[in-house]
Amino acid sequence: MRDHEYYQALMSRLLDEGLTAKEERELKEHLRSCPECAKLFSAFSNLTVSLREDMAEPPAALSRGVMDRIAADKEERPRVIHVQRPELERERSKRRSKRGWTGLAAAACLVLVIGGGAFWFLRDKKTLPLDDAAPEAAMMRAAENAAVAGTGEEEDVPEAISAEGDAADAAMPMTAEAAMATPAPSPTATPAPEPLTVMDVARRDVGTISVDNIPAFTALLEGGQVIGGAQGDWEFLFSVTYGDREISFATDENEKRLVWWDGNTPVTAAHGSLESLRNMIELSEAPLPQ
Amino acid sequence: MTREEERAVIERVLSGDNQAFEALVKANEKGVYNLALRMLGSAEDALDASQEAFFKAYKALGNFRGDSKFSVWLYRLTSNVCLDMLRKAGRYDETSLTGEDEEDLPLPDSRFDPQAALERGEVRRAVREGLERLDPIFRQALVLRDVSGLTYDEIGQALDLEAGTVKSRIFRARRKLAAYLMADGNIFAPEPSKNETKGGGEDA
Repeated sequence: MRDHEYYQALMSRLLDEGLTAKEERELKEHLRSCPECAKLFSAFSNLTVSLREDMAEPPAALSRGVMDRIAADKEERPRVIHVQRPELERERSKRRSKRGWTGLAAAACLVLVIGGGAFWFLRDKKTLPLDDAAPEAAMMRAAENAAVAGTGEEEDVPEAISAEGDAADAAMPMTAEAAMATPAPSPTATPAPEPLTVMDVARRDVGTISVDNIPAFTALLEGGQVIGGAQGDWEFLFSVTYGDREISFATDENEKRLVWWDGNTPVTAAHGSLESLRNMIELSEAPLPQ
Repeated sequence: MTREEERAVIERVLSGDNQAFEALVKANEKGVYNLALRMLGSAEDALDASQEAFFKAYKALGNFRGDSKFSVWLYRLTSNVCLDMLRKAGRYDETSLTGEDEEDLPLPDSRFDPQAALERGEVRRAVREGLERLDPIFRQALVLRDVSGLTYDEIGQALDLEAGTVKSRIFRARRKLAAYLMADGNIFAPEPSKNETKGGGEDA
């Protein structure tokens, strides 16, 4: 004999999604022999019917209030720039052949924003003003389907402007200021006395990424993950060109891994996306491979 | 509104036609309002919460990707707004939650007679009261199911929970609510139940 709880759980499911014929038989049989459960079943049914029928009409003030508030909303709504989907799709298939992370980075032209209105630019690397004299690096970041959590407050929620009709669901939010800003200055050509690390590059290129605000960096990644991850396919990646080398990072939400490539050679890979991202940041403090 | 129509309206709003948002409000206000009303228990709070939820939805519309129904996404926002309001009012402390509720369930008293159910209005009042006594986490699952009409899977999407957890919360919510209604003599039993027997008890 199963316990009462089993039958009570069946009652609850019966009210929602129904039972299999076998379960229904079992339940009926039990209810015939157990007045306690039969009473509870009646109570379940009554309260469920009551809840489902007890619907109020929303006051007229509701929609009026919402629309008034929208009309009064002076804040310029953040915009979303869409990635050109076909290119990404092409690059995506390339990546299966162990190449194309950086190609993908180059293919997309995106702007990311974090809290203070700082931005990361991803540009076609061919157009990057690389400084030949120093082991200068430029940072490129691409993200697909990644939304960036700004300060974590509501002000940063995005609006989409479909730049490309076919790009409807590859969206990046950005703040209004950034949307209108001119591209970030190219990296300053400060010679590096020590071997550059990825984070050095990130700090220099991005400006706002520093030892002190690595949490912002993680928050950014997390923001991307939370939104994108909850909604399916998500990736975050960026590449660093270091002289003539390219170091690329990517996470693949589906495959739950992070990969760091030096050119075509995978340098490291980790599993478990968020932890991986944290690891990535630690790894990034290591000197670039020589 | 079909999903295609919804998508079209959303596109219009996103491309700058803010007034188009009103159609989304109209199509969903009843669901949002009733969800908030059952979560918060007061019409005034429900109105505030509904407006806040719609405004948030408007601001975050670019985040909606159409992977779920728009209403499910909206209910998620609404339900979060409600929990925030409860939290601010000191009516919800998530740190006190264990996630599992093992409180003993009083089984129905033998004097319970379903035929003796009071008038419908009285039942409703009692159910509303009982609902307010539920832990907000359980209330949320039950209200999304019985008031908003979402499936287990949709509730799972809205709350980031496994469907199994959703099912279990709803079941527990109903048991607690039933126990409250019966034990407090509100509608299903004239006197408090003294029977604390739980699962595995005697089979009559």
